[in-house]
Amino acid sequence: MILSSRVLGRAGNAGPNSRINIGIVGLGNISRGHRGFCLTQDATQVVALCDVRRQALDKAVAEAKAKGSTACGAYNDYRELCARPDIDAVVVCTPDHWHAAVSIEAMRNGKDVYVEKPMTLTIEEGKAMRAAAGRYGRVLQVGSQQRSNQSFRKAAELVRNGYIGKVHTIVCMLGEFPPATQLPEMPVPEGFDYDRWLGPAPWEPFNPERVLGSFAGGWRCFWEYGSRKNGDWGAHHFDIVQWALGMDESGPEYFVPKGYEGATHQYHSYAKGPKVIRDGDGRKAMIRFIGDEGEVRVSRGDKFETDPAGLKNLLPKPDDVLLYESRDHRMDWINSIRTRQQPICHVGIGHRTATICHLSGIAERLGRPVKWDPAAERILDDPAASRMMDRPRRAGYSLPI
Amino acid sequence: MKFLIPLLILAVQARALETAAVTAVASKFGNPSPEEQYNARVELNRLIDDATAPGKNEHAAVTRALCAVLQNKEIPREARKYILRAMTRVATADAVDCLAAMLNGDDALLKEEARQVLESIHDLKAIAALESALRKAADKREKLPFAGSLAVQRADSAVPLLAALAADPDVETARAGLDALAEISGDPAVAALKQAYAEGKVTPAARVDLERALLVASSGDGQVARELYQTTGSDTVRLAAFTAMMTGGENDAAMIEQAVKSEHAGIRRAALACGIEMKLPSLESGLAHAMEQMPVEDRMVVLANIHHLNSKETAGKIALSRVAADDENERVAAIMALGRIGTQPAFDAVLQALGDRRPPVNQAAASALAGMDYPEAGAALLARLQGDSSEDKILAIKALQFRHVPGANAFLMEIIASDDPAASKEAMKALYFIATLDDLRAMCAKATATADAARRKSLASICSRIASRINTDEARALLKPLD
Repeated sequence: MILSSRVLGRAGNAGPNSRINIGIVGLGNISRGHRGFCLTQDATQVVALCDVRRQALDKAVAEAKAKGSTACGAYNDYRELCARPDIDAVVVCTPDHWHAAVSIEAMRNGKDVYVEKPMTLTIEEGKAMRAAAGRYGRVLQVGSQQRSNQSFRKAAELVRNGYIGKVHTIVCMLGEFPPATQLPEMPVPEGFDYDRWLGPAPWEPFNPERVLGSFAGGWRCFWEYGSRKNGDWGAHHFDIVQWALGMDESGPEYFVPKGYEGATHQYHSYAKGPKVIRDGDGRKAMIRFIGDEGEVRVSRGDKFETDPAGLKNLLPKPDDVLLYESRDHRMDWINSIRTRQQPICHVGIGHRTATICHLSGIAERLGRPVKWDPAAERILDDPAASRMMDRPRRAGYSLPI
Repeated sequence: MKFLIPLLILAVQARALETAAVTAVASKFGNPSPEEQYNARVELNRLIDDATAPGKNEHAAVTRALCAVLQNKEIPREARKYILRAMTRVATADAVDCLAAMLNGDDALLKEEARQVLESIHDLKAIAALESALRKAADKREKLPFAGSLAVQRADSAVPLLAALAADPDVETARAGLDALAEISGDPAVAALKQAYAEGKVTPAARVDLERALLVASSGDGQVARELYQTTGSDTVRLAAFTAMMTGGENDAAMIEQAVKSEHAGIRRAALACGIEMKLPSLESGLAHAMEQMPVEDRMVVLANIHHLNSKETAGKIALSRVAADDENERVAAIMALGRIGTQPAFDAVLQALGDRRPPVNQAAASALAGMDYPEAGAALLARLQGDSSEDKILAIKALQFRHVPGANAFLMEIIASDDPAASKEAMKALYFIATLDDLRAMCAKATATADAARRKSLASICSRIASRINTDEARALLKPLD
């Protein structure tokens, strides 16, 4: 095998050890950690930032420049950022209703993508993103970063390998947002491209509460821009449940909203497996797996308990399934960009987890159960629910191919 | 006939009731209180969702009721907006005339909402209305949303209209037409795109969009992918075409051999991964030498795939040659590769890496050891535990924290009692993490039996820590004789 000199970096191409040029779209709360990471790693450099809020954009660009990204570009329109040929990868930190459009635009321009969780706003968007990643040969990591935590991995591994017997119940703590009330119209602040913030979502008058980036509410309360708590925490906990049950290529089949025929809690169930109950048991743990031979409880902060207690330190047996190990979610993405291997929470996984979040949301909004065929990826026997697998997009904001 | 008349009356009554109910809720949107408006929204949605629940089969009746309310001039605009939004999930073809009429109205927001409802009704009548609206649209701003709606509808009948848009000199318009054809993707759309491609019907600025649209629409057609791979001037389309060839049965050896020499890094790396996975002999034979000349990013791709090679020996040699690489990421990739290769030299190298002080390196070694498909690993570790080399012993003890080896814990207990303080310390640490209840029982018995007070204290201490970790009454009871 003979390689050309240009391949070797001797004719103007980037040579060995070149850094990964990153563009970041969306500069709210969640992007801080990503910016901090990308600005401080030897492997990466931030070359472009994008936000529809000029003030936030200017501030972030100034910060990036102060930290050494002296040529960092500033963009209001993510399409201009994605069109830059020198950018290798894009981090998508927008509100959820923009995830799919920005990610696909980046991938069709040859960029790898890290997209915050939940991966999408609708099930059809997930299918489109999965197709785009395959079509354009891109690496996409979804920010369900609990997969890269050792306690969650160990918990999932114990469950997967049957150490607590047959799992019959799983309890996930998601909490609740306040309702998305009607908001009076207020003037759009100077420098805020509100039309682009809304993007594909239905037009509504501006109100600061609507666009507020707050982990306690803000835009996260609105079905138009997110999936409320099912998407917010469900994208983390349901993701671990999928992993633990070995269902990353499939999913549950029946979704029941809280209140339906006296149901005290929202739940979904797998065909041959357990029932996953939302917010069911007095906050013992973020996720509680209950089997007929034991129990595993795991929470953030490496709070990890088992019954029997000895399970916690059990070493896997030779025939056990060993789950993908990542100790740093962002670094795992960087490694995948380099090796062209799938990252720990790739687009297919992110889509299946987001599907659970969305189906739970559809059941909640309709106030009735939803039946799902995970193989065919379609809702059964409910035409109105089926039409909620996607949403119309506002003129000018159709999904790219 | 005498049964039909009462049924018709009942149906009309049901519809009238439905309209009245919707009108009653819709009128609540006139209340200026945001709370009341929010409640009205919830009530409206609940009314519609209940009426269209599975088994009720009332979508058409509900649609007609909603249209009747939409046509009522007394209904507040805000109510119409939310009725239209609800209609995107329930409306049938019965709404098309009403919605088409709204497209001619003056209210831009309601026109846009009506377009979205038409887009959601999967029926030829809705498609016809959208096509008609596209034909009538005066300018680009009005045309493009209808092109998008016809794409969502996957409307084959709209292909000629969209092909005309694709040929528009305005790039944005052409892109909208091309993207819509790509999304529709059936035979007529592919034919239109092929024709545009063959006849150069698009402007140069939209050429890449045409190529991409053709690639997407003809997904799975390896020949189209090959043609685009060979002719496109766009790096991203070329990479996408290459990817499509790999999955479309066009991945022949000659093409991959050529692609690994590509100046396009993405194609080169995809070709390397594919060629190694396909076990191409031509690639395998020169890989060890070529590795020396490759950029580190290419070597990372090779290392991630090298376990696929026919010869585990060759794979192992290549990975071993990178274990001491300058780049830490490459070193880690080499260790992970050795874990997947699973030969004796690979095992030895991974075990050695476990003693590396740098966390990324020893963590990679731990992962590699845990997952290594090397059945002799257990015997190899037991042999080291019984060997003379303290260094080897310590590495083997570390490995036991990540890989289950039956019978190893008994040796660890012996090492604790040995005169090798470093190994003893490491063994105590390992036992703390991996000792079972049976191990604890044996250790407690040993501690109880020992006459040496200092040794007894030391064993009691580790037993106590293990019992605390196991955290059961049975474990705690074992400690009692040591109190």
